[in-house]
Amino acid sequence: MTPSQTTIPAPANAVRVPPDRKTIPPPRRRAGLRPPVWFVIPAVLVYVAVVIAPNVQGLAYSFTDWDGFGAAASFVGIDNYRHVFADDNAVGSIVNTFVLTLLVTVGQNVIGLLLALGLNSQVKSRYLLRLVFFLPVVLTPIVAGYLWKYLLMPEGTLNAVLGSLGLDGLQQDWLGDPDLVLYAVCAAIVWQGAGYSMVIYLAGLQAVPSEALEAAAMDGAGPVRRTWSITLPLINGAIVVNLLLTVLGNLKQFDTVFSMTSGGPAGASETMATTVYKSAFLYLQYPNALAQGVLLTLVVGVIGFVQYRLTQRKALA
Amino acid sequence: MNRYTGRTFALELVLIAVAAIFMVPILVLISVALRDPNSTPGFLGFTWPLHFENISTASTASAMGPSLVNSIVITTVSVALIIVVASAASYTITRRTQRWSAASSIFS
Repeated sequence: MTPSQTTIPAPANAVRVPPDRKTIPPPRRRAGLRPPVWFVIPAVLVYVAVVIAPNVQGLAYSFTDWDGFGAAASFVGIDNYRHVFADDNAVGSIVNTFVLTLLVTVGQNVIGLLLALGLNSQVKSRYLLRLVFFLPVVLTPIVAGYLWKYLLMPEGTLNAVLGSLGLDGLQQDWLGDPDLVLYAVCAAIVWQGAGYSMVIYLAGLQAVPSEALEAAAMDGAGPVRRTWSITLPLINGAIVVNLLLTVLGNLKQFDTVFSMTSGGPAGASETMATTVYKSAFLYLQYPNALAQGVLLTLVVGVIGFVQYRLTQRKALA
Repeated sequence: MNRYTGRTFALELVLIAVAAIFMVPILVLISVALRDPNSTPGFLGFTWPLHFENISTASTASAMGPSLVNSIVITTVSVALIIVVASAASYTITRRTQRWSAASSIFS
């Protein structure tokens, strides 16, 4: 028996001294608590079968003249990639994708944040209003796209409302005008996604301690100052998650665009995803479609990785 | 800060107005779905009387039954697979602090 283990009873009023930290192993070093690596193996196998293998095969076929049927294909180097960059429509779709991603990311996050700030207050109808703003998220993007196509057609609801208000000069062919169509598509996507962003921001806002806001208010900070200097820094995590989801989701945007405009008129609302679909299944140019798909994957991967690293660093700062 | 003031009332009115605008497409969707199929489309005002036969026509004409079964099968199988596979993997990934553990989250 060691001296530290002698059985001298402690007095009733003795102060309990916590054991030396060095004698307690950190949790992950304790025997039996280290989770086995083989838990990861099923997920890795599924990931390889569903994500890695098709992507590697697609990458390999993007350097061939594969016709989409059978396995016969001969190596053509980077010809398919040259075709993509020589095709004005494909280059235009890349520009459109970036414009759409920028507009939707800004619009959806600003509206989502404003709604969350408004609904995180004492308004009596806040629970009903949260439901109303979240309702569009429940719709399938295809349905939302067709619905907005109906609203924005030349004789549709929006122009009818403008006409009934005497604003005939503002009536437009929203989906037929190449200068307007991308903004119209963005409006539909923002309408559908704002509720989703709002819910994430609300979760962040509800974790902000009211004591900090009350202390700032007692120090004379107004609502704008409190929001800017206290609330926004404290919901940094929600902002990071929202930006990541919105950017990555909209770089791959397909359903709403395709159901509203099919990329038209004259490619004015074409995105990278709709171009890939059309090349493969409309024009049956599988090698081109694969090259476009690889480029889309690269763009999404690189932007996602850079954004993840930047925001992670900012969140830790 | 937790009192219902005049400013809160003004905020409530603004939010209700925004909610009304948000609801317009949903109301149009419901209005179109319940419109008399033989009538000419009207783009202003809610349809009346309501025609629920559109819903039964859609469910029989577009074979919604088999589509619904397919959706249920896909959802059930994928959710079950994701729960079993992903929960085991995430347990290990979050409990271990190796470099690959942090990197793996990027692939998700």
